[in-house]
Amino acid sequence: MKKLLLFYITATGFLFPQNYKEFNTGFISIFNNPVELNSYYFGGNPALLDFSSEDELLSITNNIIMNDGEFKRFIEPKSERLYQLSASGKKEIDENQRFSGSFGFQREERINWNWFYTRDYNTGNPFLIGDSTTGSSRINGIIMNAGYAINLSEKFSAGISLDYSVDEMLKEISPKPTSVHRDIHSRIGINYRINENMNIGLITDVYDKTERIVYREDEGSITQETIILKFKGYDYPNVFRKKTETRYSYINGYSAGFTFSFSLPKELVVLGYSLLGFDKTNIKDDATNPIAEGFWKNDFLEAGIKLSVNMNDFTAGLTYKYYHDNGWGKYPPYNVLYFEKENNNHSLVIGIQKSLSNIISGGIEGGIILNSVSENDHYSVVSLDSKSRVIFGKAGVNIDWNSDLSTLVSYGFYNNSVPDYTYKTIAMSDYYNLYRQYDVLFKITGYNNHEFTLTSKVDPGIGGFFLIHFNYSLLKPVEGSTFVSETRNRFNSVLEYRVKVF
Amino acid sequence: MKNEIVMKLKNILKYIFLLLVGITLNSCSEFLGVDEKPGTTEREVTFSIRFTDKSGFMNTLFGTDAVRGAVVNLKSNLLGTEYTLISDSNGVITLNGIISDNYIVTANRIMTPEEMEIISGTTASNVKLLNKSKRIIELNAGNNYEILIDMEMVAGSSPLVISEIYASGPPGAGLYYHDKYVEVFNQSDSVLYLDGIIIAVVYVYSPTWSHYRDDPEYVHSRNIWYFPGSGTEYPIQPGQFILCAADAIDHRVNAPNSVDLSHADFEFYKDDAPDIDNPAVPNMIKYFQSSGNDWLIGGETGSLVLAKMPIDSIKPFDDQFLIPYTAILDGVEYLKDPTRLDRKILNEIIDAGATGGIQFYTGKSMERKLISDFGRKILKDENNSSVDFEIISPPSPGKYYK
Repeated sequence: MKKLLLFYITATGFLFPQNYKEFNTGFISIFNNPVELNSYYFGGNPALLDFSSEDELLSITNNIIMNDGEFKRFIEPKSERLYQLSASGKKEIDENQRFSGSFGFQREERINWNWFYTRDYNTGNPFLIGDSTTGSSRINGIIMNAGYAINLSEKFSAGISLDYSVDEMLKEISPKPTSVHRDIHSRIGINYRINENMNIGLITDVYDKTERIVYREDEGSITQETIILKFKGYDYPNVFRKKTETRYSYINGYSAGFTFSFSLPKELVVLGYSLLGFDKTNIKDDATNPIAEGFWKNDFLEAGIKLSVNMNDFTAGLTYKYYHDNGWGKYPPYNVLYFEKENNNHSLVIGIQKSLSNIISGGIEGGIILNSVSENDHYSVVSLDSKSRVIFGKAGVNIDWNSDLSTLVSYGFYNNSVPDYTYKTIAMSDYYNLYRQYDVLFKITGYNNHEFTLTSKVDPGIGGFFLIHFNYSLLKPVEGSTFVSETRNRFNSVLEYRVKVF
Repeated sequence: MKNEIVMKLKNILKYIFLLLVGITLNSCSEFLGVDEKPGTTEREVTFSIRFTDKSGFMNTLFGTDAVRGAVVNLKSNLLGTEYTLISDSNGVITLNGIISDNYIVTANRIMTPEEMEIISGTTASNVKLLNKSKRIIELNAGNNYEILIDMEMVAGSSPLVISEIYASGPPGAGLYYHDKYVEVFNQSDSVLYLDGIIIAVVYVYSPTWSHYRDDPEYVHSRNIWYFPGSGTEYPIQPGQFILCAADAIDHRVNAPNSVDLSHADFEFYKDDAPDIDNPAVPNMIKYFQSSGNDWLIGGETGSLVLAKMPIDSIKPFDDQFLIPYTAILDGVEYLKDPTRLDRKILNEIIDAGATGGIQFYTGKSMERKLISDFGRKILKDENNSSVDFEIISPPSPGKYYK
């Protein structure tokens, strides 16, 4: 699950990915909301933004995510807290035009975070910056999304989706670096309805992100030496005993793909998409005379297919996703290759859902995730080839207590094993011996994950209704691993109020 | 009206979509500013450096100008890595698997008395070949070619060296900076005299960091002091440290984490300013210092030279004075960021590298490394502060810290 999340973040390349999913049930292939079985929700084609007038709701959402524990890479914070508060809504402007939008505030806390100060440290880009202190950093920002779709003709429709976010980050202990970020992601899509049952569409993305990190002399630096660390790989960071530095990162990404759907109403839905693209990052240091410090390029391909079969009181679902990325980094002043990585991920999830009575339905879901990672850090002479396998099973029961209250509870068990890996390094500095090799060791550590989920819909009779989602995961490394005595737990709660106000 | 708006929106969306699809599907790397993947991989390149003798010694001895047996030290200030190799019979060293960077090179080929007898008929000692003119090289895997370095004959080395510079100021005392000092050491085995020896702060035209550094003949200075005496009044014994303090007082009274300089041998007393003067300590003589209430050296970045020449021979130039390279006994440079050798102050003929990396008010000092201590201390002097100096804390005024 953790790897799924990681790949999702990597694939989208965003801290604030587009929120196409209506509401999380904890399941992937079953317990789907029927309105989500189209290429807007699976494939993200904004031309298919569509909803009935009953769904023209205003939603106010509070989302809290917490991550804690020492079963983590060195580069990650010991604890993370994410608080989001957002308002979103959808409106049919006329019979041909639909609009959706959201506005939210987000606060993220990274507690006991070692050294690093690059916000998106998790993308694979080895050119990171930090300092020698361990402490908490917080990120406050706003998130906005707007979506618009229009029927261009009886068969053609087009749409656009725009994500915009800005935030500020501050490390709370000396040397107290600050940073500002601005992210824009736009997606345009068209859809052609071949006939009543088939749709085909094209999507294209452009995104642009900037980051500016500033180290300046703070009050604490009068009594404390500031050590700035610039990483170009796992090891051999450049160590600077100085108080000031400015880093600029410019990230641009482009992708294009297609979506398709085939459906036989109430019987069968087949959805698919594919997206091919790349992003590149230019990093420059020094405020007065910026000098190129790193260049990172990442090519990616993602594809998915989803199948849902309905037969009276029985539903079966299958979801397959593939993700591939291939990145490399160079040091521009010398035009020399520093870092290469390649990643392949297949996930197959199959589930069945059956009505057990008028008010109870049960479902089981199982799947396998195969992942292969190849990293070659030429700068640090560290290489890793690993293949991991996640096998999981999940069971849940949904009870419609009455028309105002329903509850879905589930339990899932995930086993991640790393049957095959090769890990090599030769010369090591203290920085690798003592710290960052945990970033590699983490990737070759197997673990078990227990997951509990509760989702509920409550209509208190005050005009709107509440959606509640709790999810708790506990990750435990397998016996004999480097992290054997550590754990990591994750908690996610979503409280959403939906009301019709138009 | 409504239909017109819809039609306009349709057209606009069509154009935007076609444009973006065109850009993305073509995904022309050049158009999108995507760099090509480099063909060269870091640490998979062999670097080669060839040392050539310009003195003729090697040709006399071996019939070739290749410098064999030179001890070559390469240091990267950025990476903190250091390599020592010996050149082969072709005068070549090769390095594999190292990270591309600017490296400070110090190559020494000590001539033995036997070799000197063949060359000159005398068994002269303390003669060596040194890479005086090329001290910083770029080992770049992306643009790799054999680097040629000339070596020239050097007879002897400076008997007087700067052994320590303390400039950062003490911790925990606000902006207190009056406890700066420089220490001079007699490397030789005979008594020397400090009378008239110059201590100058090097001036460089800062906007480019290269204007005066690249002067082929002179060091530029706007801060020049010299030792008193008429010739033999102030001896310095072999292995003796002489402490020259900005203010020769016990600074711990003002700043508890500072140093006691009340026992200093000399004091920089600026008589045209409200400076402290310890009457028990002889004063350095100010030749020129245009500003400041005390002897001023940079807290994080600076450079000092020790020179021997008649003080009235110093040439004025603009608002500065010129000290010829030939008069300089020793020079030391320290930088706020020692990895930025492009911002060096001193010409690399005098100091190939730079020490430092010390922040203000940290109580850290720069001391020359000790290479032997058998009866008399010998301090490292490769004319390369990157390898000659180390950072110590606390400072050790008037003595070696160990």
